[in-house]
Amino acid sequence: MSKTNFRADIVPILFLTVVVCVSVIALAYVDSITYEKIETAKLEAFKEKLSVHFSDMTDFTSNDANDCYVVFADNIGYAVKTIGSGYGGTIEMLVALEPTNLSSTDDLILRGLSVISHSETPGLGDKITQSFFLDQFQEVFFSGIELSKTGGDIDAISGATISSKAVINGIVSSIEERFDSLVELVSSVEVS
Amino acid sequence: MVHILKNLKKGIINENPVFILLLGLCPTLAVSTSIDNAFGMTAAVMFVLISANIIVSLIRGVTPDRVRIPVFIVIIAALVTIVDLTMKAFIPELSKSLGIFIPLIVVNCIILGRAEAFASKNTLADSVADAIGMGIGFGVAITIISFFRQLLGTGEITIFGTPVFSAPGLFDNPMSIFILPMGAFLVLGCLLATLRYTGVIKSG
Repeated sequence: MSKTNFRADIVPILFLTVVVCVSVIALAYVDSITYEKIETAKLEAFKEKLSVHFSDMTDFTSNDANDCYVVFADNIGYAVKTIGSGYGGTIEMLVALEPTNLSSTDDLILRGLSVISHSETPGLGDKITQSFFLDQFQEVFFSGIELSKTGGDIDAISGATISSKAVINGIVSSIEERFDSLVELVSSVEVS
Repeated sequence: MVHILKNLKKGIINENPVFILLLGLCPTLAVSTSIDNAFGMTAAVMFVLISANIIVSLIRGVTPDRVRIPVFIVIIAALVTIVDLTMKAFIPELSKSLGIFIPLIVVNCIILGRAEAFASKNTLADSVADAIGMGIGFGVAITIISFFRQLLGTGEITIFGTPVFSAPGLFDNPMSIFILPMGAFLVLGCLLATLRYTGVIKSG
């Protein structure tokens, strides 16, 4: 092609550019009107997740990394976001904790567990979101978070051992990892 | 008018996107694990399909042939993102249950296929009729597949979370394979074979 033909060569490029620009403007506009609503909806959804475990919750505060929470209710409570790696991907969970002495992880007592997001197999692994499994995590010591066949308090879901194990490993490793930041958050709340 | 009705009808039976054209199989197979998912996916696909056909049909006179596919893809991707954001903002509950399926619509080739094969060559009214017909055809197909997969794989049928039917023997010992990806292929294969054998759809 020796000579550039305006109609055949330049017009398609210009047309595509215009389409992309119009799409970007449309998206930016939609984003600008939905952004705050999405953020509020997310916050509301999270508050609801917390209030499942703390029914008399009035407010909560989180640390900068947004993975540890102190819940204000009649009695104060704690919560930690935990991440497990399941069969189908990451399992994001919320562990509610009783306001126990925070000298070591051994004293922690779980108040309850809820699954925030997961991508486990429908019909098998996604049973981790059902109450028969989740209810096992109510009022157990942190040390009891282990499968019953290895001496813990949690029964695995039949047919979904990997998902059950992922939940348990996720809770244990995330709490151990985030324990220091939880302690820090709790003490900063108590000081102020 | 007859013309428009014909375009509407053909998507449901004669040119059913899933059973005849075998388009959009990836999301169909992935999502058809429950009737609820099928309904949600149908609603989302329907909206994007109609909007994409409208826009593509309106700009069909000015779209240069050489860049038509990129143009269609940009339009579809933008529409899907708009749906995603709007749903997250205004109906977060629905958006939560459909979460991963919304981005999947971008790669649903029914939409690109209809934009390319139909809307880029036909009038606005015909394109809308085609989109509605194809949307219904997709909905019917994915609902039938979901029905069998949910029934065999979990032993019960639930609609919007309420159990409506439970197969006594199956519920205790469900054939979980039908909920897994390979179950989707088994169900689709058996359905296609049955539909052809009984002459509901004609080969060739």
